[in-house]
Amino acid sequence: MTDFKKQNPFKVPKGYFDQLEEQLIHPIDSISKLNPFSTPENYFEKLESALLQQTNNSVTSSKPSFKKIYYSITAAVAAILFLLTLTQQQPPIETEREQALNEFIESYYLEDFDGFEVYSMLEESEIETTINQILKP
Amino acid sequence: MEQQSLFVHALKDPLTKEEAFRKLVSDYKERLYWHIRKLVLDHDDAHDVVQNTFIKVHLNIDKFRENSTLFTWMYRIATNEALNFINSKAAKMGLQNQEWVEAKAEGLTADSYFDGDQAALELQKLVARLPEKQRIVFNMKYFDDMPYEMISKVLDTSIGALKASYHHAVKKIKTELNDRL
Repeated sequence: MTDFKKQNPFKVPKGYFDQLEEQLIHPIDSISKLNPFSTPENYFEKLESALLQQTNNSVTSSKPSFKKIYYSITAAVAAILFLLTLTQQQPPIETEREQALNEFIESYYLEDFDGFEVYSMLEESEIETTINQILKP
Repeated sequence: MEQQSLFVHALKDPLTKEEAFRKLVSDYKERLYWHIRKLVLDHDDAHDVVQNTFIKVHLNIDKFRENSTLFTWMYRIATNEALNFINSKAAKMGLQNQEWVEAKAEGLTADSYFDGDQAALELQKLVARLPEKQRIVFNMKYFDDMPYEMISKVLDTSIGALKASYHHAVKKIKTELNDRL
């Protein structure tokens, strides 16, 4: 295999690739390349002033007024205070669920196990902590 | 490039920004409008997009780092704005982007700002049926005669991939045109 040269053995007519694109396009070229779209009369003259007006407006509107900033901050503070009040009044749903689950496990699930079986389900560190808590005076 | 840097500097300087921007609008409004118009097809839509494009340019000129030419950068913004516009319009109507463009092309018959003959209309309809990337490349190469090097910079795509896209587009259009005309 190494004796074979890796050169491309095929040839194309001279200038083939230069003409290929034109040949491919030829049927489309029969259609006028002239722009078939038009605009309203004097559109580009009016467009320039419209664009400058638009950009000026965008700059003006992108600078928030003092009043806007004041109201935004007030609204944000009010929202935070409201959320804080809510979280203080109601226990988080997750905690309620956890409590209910623990109660269920303690009252129904674990009552069928003896002490040894319960300890066998705990990690060594958890057993140590539990024992230490029990042994506390 | 040095001339461009001076101009960009003028666009960024608050003291000269307004005058420089006026020149920018004057120099590029038509080129960007026609690029956008060929993508969105409708004059009113093109007008909305060209306005959004210049607003973006105005607001973001401070972020322009001159890694490309100003023209390329603006062309890129215009292309993105046109595609975003098509995206949002199509989504509102529950259509795919291409379906929206095809519907627009079908509507060209009744468009008072379309002066093309039957062949030009057919060509627009076929271009509308091309996948998005091929459609953009075809418009930039065929109608605008833009060199591949520039299209490559605008679309951030390799020249090889662009040539392939263009040839696929031309082949599809050629086949369809032979059947229709």
